[in-house]
Amino acid sequence: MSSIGTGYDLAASTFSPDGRIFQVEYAQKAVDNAGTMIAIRGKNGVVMAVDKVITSKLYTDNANPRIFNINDSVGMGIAGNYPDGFNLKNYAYGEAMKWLKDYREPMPVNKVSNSVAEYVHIFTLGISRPYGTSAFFGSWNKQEGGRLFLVEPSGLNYEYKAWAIGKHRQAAKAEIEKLKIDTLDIQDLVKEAARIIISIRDENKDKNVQIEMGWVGEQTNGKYETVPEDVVAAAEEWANAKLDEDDMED
Amino acid sequence: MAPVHDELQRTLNPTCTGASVIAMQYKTGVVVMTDRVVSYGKMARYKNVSRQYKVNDNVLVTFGGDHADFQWLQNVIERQVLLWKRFDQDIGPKALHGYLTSLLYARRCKMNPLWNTLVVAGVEEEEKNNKETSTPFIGIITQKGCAYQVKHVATGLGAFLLNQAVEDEFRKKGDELTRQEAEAVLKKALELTLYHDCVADNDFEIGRVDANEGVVLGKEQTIIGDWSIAETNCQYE
Amino acid sequence: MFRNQYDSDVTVWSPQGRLHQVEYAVEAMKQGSATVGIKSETHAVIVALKRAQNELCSHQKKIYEIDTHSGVSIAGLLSDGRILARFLQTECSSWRWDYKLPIPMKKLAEAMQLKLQANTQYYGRRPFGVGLLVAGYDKDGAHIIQTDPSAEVVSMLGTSIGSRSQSARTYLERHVDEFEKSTPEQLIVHALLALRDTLPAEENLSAQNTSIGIVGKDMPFKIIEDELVQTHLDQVATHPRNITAPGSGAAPAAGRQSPAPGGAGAPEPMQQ
Repeated sequence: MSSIGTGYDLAASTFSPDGRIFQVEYAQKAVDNAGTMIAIRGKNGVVMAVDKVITSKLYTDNANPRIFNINDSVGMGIAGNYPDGFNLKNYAYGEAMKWLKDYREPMPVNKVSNSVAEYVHIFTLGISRPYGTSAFFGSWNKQEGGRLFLVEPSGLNYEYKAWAIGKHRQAAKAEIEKLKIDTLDIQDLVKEAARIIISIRDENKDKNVQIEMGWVGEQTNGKYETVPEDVVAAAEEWANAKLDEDDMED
Repeated sequence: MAPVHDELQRTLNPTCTGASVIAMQYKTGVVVMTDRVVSYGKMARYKNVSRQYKVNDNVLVTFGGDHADFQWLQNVIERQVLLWKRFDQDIGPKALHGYLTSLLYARRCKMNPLWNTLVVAGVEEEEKNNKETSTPFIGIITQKGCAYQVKHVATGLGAFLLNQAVEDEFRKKGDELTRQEAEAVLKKALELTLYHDCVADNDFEIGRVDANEGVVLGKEQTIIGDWSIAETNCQYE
Repeated sequence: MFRNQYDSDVTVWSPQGRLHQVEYAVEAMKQGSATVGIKSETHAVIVALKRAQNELCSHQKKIYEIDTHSGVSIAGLLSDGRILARFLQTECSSWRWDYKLPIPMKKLAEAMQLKLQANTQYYGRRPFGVGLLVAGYDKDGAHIIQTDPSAEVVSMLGTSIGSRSQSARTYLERHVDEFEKSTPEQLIVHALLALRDTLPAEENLSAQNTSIGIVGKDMPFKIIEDELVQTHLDQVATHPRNITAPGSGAAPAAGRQSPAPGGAGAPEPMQQ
């Protein structure tokens, strides 16, 4: 990065001579270095999966979750700086509450992600630092089907069919592209997501890792839920067997 | 008298109202009875409207007084439920009763009270996933924020008419009352409101919260009563 | 430690996506004297090592009650810690005002995390140079919550922060499976044994330098201090000390090691 040391990269309020805002790019780095997170929209639902590092056995089960409910139907998954992500979750949640108060109905997923994106964007203008977190938002209902959004540290907010962020995102995207995701229901997606996360791990570096997942779809009646631990464990077992099988064929 | 310029006059009357709520504890839960009419003054303006709101599996809130105020409160309660879910808890009747007490009291202190009497009924879980320690709960909050906890209650005009009758029945068996016995007492009590309260209706429902079954909303029922005594009333035509 | 141009403020990301100011604040916490927290199914215990600035000075209090069901111990800049303890007390009392009930520990942890996070993002602020262990008991059971200046707030089975706390964590990791079914007395002994491991060979726990906080089922939070600590220390004394020579074994001190409390001629640390 030739920008380092030029002095154009010390504040979000400074453009570099070639029109870049380095502080936003550096904040993005916090996400790029985090555990891989993938999200996939399938036939009748959306699944998110994240690889978490558990550094000590002194943690309680599922301490520091990455998957949250914003309301009954909208789910959020965060990757990057955890306290920043927790703060964004709190903001999203507050917006959903305001919406429920004003309109007396739950806030739709596109409104949630849009509102979070606007908020994140303000932090790219200077004074404070940008958020070091990206956040997926997902939902499913009969009228719209599955929807999946990603808000990035720059304040960008795009809708996706599927996407990957974090450490091994490139490998994950390549794996996702091999799937016919439009034909998979959320049960299949959970298995495939586990397979992808496990297959792209760096066996030497990614130790003491644990997969956390969230799903929403027809089978959950449009309610976003953290996938139960036994379901994740079964998916991992399936994934490991499948990966061993693939190795044999090679 | 014309209002002075810096005076502010609040609404002095509710508009669309519900009448009495009668509630009673039994051995493992609470039964709550309300009629299903909305009055506009003394006119029976709408029929088939429930005054019982299921908060979650442990709590049922019923009300007397203004329907619009309560519809607003439903939204407040809905948001409270979400707030508690955020740290993986279902709000219990004790906490909701406490919260609504604070809310109604704050409103009356601002000289802008909510026109409701609330009955928060439910079972309070003392420990998570241990039904053995769950206890029935009935909490009342008046329009002025006066709050208390009881084992049985009648609100509205029922407070003047029924509390003694309900208490007499409750005292016969106390905490050992079965659900069927408690419901029988409520029905008898409703019959009394029907005779004396001109805005009470004979279409009603009995909801319940049971430690084992959770909240079970009641079906619509009708009571006729015995009107033969009316013949001896000298004003009766 | 090397200075670089990206470490002057919390509002600057380094090119690697790190926040140096926040990382430095974590160092401040590591210099405070150690504190240990562990929980069983029904109880949570925090113990802390108190320091005295000099021989004429009393030992500085490190454990605070925040409500009847919760208490907190502090490692790092004590004045920052007191602000946070006061914050937690206020959260507890406003929850009681709203609901007439004690605050759920998860809600308390969330409020804490949001407060800490703000000080890692806004210009003109600095992170709190302190870590906390919050012990509490609510409907969900017993809790030990660990916080640090980077706004990581996490629920633990047992943990330790502060100077040489790695030694205590090593002890805890070795015994973690025993905690769940421990009695309150056993928990206190485990916690004190872990705390003792943070001390250099020439020092020991004493009634003057040790505080204990305990809370649990049918037991409001209470602080055990001074002569009342002695009976627990007597229990601990029956376990022989396993002293490893500096630099050997599984006890690398986290961060810079602070001078011995009250040690003659030692420079006085700000941290407690």
